[in-house]
Amino acid sequence: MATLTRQGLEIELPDGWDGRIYRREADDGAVTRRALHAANFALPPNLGDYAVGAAERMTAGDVLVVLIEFDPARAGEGLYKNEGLPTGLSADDFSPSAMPRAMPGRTAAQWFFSVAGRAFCLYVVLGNHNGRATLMPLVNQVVGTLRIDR
Amino acid sequence: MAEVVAIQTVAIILLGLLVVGLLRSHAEILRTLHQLGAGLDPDGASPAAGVTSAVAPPVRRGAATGFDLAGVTPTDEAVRIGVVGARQSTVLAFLSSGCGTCGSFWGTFGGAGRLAVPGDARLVIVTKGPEAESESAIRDLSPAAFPVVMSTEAWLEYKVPHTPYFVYVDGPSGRIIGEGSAQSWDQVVSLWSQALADDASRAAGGEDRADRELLQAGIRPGHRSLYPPQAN
Repeated sequence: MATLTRQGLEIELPDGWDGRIYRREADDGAVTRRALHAANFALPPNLGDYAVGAAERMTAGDVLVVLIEFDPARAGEGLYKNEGLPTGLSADDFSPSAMPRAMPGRTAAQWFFSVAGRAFCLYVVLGNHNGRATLMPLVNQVVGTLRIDR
Repeated sequence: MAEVVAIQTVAIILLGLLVVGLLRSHAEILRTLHQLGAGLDPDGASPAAGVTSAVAPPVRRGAATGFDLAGVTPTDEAVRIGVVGARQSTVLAFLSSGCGTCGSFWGTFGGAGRLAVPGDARLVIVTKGPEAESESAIRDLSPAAFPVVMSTEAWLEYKVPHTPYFVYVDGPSGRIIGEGSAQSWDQVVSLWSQALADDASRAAGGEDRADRELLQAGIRPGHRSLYPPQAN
């Protein structure tokens, strides 16, 4: 396991995993927010926030974890009313229809939450919907190491 | 007035002599460093350093293993690249923004079309960290298709002797298959294709030898000594 930390975000990566933490590109006048990508396969460079370019390359045993920060004005309400990082992620949370666009075999899930007045989305993509149950221990192991600096 | 002009003339001559002396001393130091093999660019390698080929012979580290890469990207992302334990092998290209030979590699990596990488390995470009390398220069040179990691620690861990330098790491085992320098990507492909073929040949030879020795000892496929005793 190796620690990747930057800008108040931290994650422990198992051997062979790629990871990156960065500030999202800002549109004119917008405030930049943090984002994190982690994967057990080779992450291509120049990915968008949801790492769709990486999801397109995924194979059956692949896991992609994405954490994106949103406008703190939304924290604690609506989609973001749940406080704290999600735990105990379940295979039942995943659906092929949660993919940004149809990608045969792949499946995804999103969790919206707030931490210390900041709004986040955790987005996890798996390479194989039918085999998602076998990947859940790995997903929970890695997501369980996520830390958000207050 | 004439005295002032004379004094200035003498001062200028003395300063000129001093500058010439410093330049000669500097040249002498550089020449000595080259003779010691401390030059950083193969373009400038002198015959005295023993480099007679366009391709420096690869150094085989045997059982040496690679390291994961940790650093930043030229766009200031924190990044970690899984090298050891990865499913695919990785070719690490250690480049700098200043070395003459590196220019052709930056151009090749940034060029259009699919780049052939031996063994379908993943190509990752590694420069020194922002404290020792120009972030803006690397940002301008960075190709869109390949990750670029700025990490002085990686240079130290892989003991990079000069630029450009290439290391091929087998993903699942983390073993360094080979390493070396070259003047062009075609030479790198040739270098690694040979290293991979040698590695496969060594692996196959080891298996054959084990089979031969077992046969000589009278142990054939299915022999009971090949299987652990069954627990009752």
